[in-house]
Amino acid sequence: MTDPGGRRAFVEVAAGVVMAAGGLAVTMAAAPAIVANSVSAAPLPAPPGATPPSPRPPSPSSTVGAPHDAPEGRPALAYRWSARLDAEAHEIAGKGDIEWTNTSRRPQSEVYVHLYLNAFRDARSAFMRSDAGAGFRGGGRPSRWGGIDVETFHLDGHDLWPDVVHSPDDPDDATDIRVALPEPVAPGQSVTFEVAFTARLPTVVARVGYAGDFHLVAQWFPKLARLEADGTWRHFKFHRLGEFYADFAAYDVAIDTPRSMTVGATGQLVSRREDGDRKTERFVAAWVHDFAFTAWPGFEVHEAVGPHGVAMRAMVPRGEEALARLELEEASAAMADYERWYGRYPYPTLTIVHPPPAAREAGGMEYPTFITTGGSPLGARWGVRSVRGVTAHELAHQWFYGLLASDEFRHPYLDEGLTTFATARSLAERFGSGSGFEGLGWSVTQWAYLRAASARAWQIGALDRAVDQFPTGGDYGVSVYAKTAVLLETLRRVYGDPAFDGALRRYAERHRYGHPAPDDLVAAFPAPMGKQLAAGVAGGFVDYEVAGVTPLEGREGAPHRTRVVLRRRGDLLFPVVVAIVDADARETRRTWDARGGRTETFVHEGAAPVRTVTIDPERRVLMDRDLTNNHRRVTPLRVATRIQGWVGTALALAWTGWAP
Amino acid sequence: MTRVVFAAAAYRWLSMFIVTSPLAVAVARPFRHHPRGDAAWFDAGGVWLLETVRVMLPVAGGLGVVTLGLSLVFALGWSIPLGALVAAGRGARGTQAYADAVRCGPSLAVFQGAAILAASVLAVGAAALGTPPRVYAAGDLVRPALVLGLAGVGWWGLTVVLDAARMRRFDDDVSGALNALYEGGVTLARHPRLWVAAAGRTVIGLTSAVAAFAATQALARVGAHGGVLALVHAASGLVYVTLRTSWFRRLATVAATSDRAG
Repeated sequence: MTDPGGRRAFVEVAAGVVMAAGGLAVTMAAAPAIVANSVSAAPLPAPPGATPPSPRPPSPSSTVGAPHDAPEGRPALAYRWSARLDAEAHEIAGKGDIEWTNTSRRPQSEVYVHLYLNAFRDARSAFMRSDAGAGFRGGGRPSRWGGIDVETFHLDGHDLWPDVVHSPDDPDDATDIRVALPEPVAPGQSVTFEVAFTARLPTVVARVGYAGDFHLVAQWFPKLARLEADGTWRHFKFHRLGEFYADFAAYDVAIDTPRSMTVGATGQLVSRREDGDRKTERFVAAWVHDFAFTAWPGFEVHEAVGPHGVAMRAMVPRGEEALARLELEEASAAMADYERWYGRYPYPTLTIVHPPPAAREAGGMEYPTFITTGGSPLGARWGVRSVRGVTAHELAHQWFYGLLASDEFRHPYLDEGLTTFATARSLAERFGSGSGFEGLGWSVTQWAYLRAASARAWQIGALDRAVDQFPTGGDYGVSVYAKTAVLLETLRRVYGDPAFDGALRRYAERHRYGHPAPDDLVAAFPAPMGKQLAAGVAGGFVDYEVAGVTPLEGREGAPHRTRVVLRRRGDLLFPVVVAIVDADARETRRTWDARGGRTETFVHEGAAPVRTVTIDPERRVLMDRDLTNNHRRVTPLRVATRIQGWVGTALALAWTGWAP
Repeated sequence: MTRVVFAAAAYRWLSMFIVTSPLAVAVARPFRHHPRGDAAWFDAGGVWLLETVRVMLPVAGGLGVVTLGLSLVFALGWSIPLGALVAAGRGARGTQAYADAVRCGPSLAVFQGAAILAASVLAVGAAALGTPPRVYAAGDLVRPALVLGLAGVGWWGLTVVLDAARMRRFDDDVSGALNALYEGGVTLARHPRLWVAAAGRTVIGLTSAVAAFAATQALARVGAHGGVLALVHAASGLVYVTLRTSWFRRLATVAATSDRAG
């Protein structure tokens, strides 16, 4: 998920960007792979070497909607729903079953069911009571409340649903429900719950809801919490800063909507049936851990083929073809980067949804094979890379959240931090210094923004905290998103691409289709990288300083001698280069591994007097808390005359109008 | 005439120098020891740009107040050099131009104050009315463009009227700001082509100022010395003041012709 207010200050350049993706190159300016069409589109042109998707909806089978490298067997959880959208009442009537296998080592006499749409049932929910994140992930409260009512929850004819539903120890919240089983379910045993429910959408809030006839339908069905192998349920109330944690599952969902609606959803469309003024589209997905869909008559759908023949759909407001092209181009290019670094995107489809302006808060969210993006098309034309940034970010979640399904409540940095890192790196590799903004003669990288934000986080505690341990949305944002990303980028720059990429690739491959924990991430990084990563995650920081540069008296004709004092503050320790430049512009470099202590003093001898000393001239330690003390001039600057000249002409320009 | 023009240009240059000095001293702090000094601020990628913002944030409010206060003082003080330019346009020389300006000082200060107030009100009003609720598609900018355009045209018209009033205030038979404002309006009404002349000079003046701004940015980016930037700024100021002088001379000539004809 992204913060739409804070993180969309990024830029877009013109078309004609060439994407290289493991042998697949698609030039979107020519756009041979993108066709504007409706959902009943013509066959997608495939790139050379790619397997073209089927021109007709495939027949449902065990492999449809499944990843190419699906683990053996089938997921231990399966949801089969028929969902009817009442577009006037903004309600979904759901009916179906949940097939669940106890994969733990202990018999289970209960299950926990998350009803997260109940976060928007009234102002007393845990979500609405928390003001910690207000403003971070969008507004406060919806103008119309929503919620889920479970009508039946049967097992072998017994209705198990409690008469009074509320979260454990919280009578005002109904997002985390304990359901007692009539008899324990043994390890390996499967049971099927028959369920009927009604989900009422709120007006758009926190990436769900409706605006006019636009619907983003998420957290809309009773969803089992995750059962850990040791037999404990990881269940939690929906928190304002929190997201999700669930088991991989198979989904088979038939969505019944008015015919005028254009529908997009998690997974692969396998059938479409029309009946009068309604239609039913069936989507299936396997080895995913959530299911969301959107329905709106105002969508225009554009399609393209991504790496390995992934069928990509961009659903944008009508008339925004350029926006769709941009998003498909970005998704294809970013996917190629992520595949190079973290392994192949395994699913056959990817759906990108750009909500209409009236539903802006529905943008910037990830679900398996289904992402909502955002940002202004106009801003994109002016060099703000917000559309690219949000699209690339939500796509990166397909790895860090999707395939590596960590506990987003307890360890949010594992998904948001790694995703932010992957996004910034991908954009920086493709757009260099203009990866955030480029225009009017200025450019700003994503790293510059993330660095400045993370410098605020140096003293506010560990990165690895559960979401309810962050006192404010700001603390959460700068720690989980910015500082994690900057810490990882520092490791990459200091230890080099081969070592860093190997470690993160190892983590991504070992825990694919798994539920990794922080120790798993650290374990993938060899020493000393892993040690610094662990220290950084624990809240460590580093600040290098050139504490003194003092010319020493010497004999006439002897080399100029200068005493240099370096200092390191904080818990992290990286080897750094120290550059000494003399009055003849000769540069001498030495490395300070900083292992000897927090200070280093040496005497430099040279043919000319020392003019400047700089620690880390290539700025590898991006997370250095304060960059302004990384340098020392023998003759310090007293007035910023260039800035004064620039600001002076700007003010003179303003004065031309203000005081003519 | 030349002395008065140079003095006015010097006033503008000096006032900008003083107004921006607190900022220049404060913002030097992050760059005090940087090998390339404040040239790093203009680097591609914006790391130092944002680092400066981060470091300066705690003092930004105070700095803004000081800069605004100094701007106000020097903008009001501009009445006298500007008055001298008007007098020079009417043929006064050297100290006589300043003596005339001081004589009409109160009215000139009223005009200047009114101009500053009107500009500020228009800017705030345009921001309040013209800020779009969202910037999504080109259509979202139609209203802001209209509001800004109207505010700009209104503002420009007011400055032309005020210039005519400044010039008429120097007439022996015109006393007081209101009277001068009326007479200035009459002059412009009788000679509509003056508006065209004013527009031409405005375009040239703005172009020169924008070019100077772009040039200083480009020069700073390649690490040019601050003195070079100051020279560019001074040259731009001289162009502006020369244009103003030529405009006042034109106004005076037309008004004198008009008086003889009347």
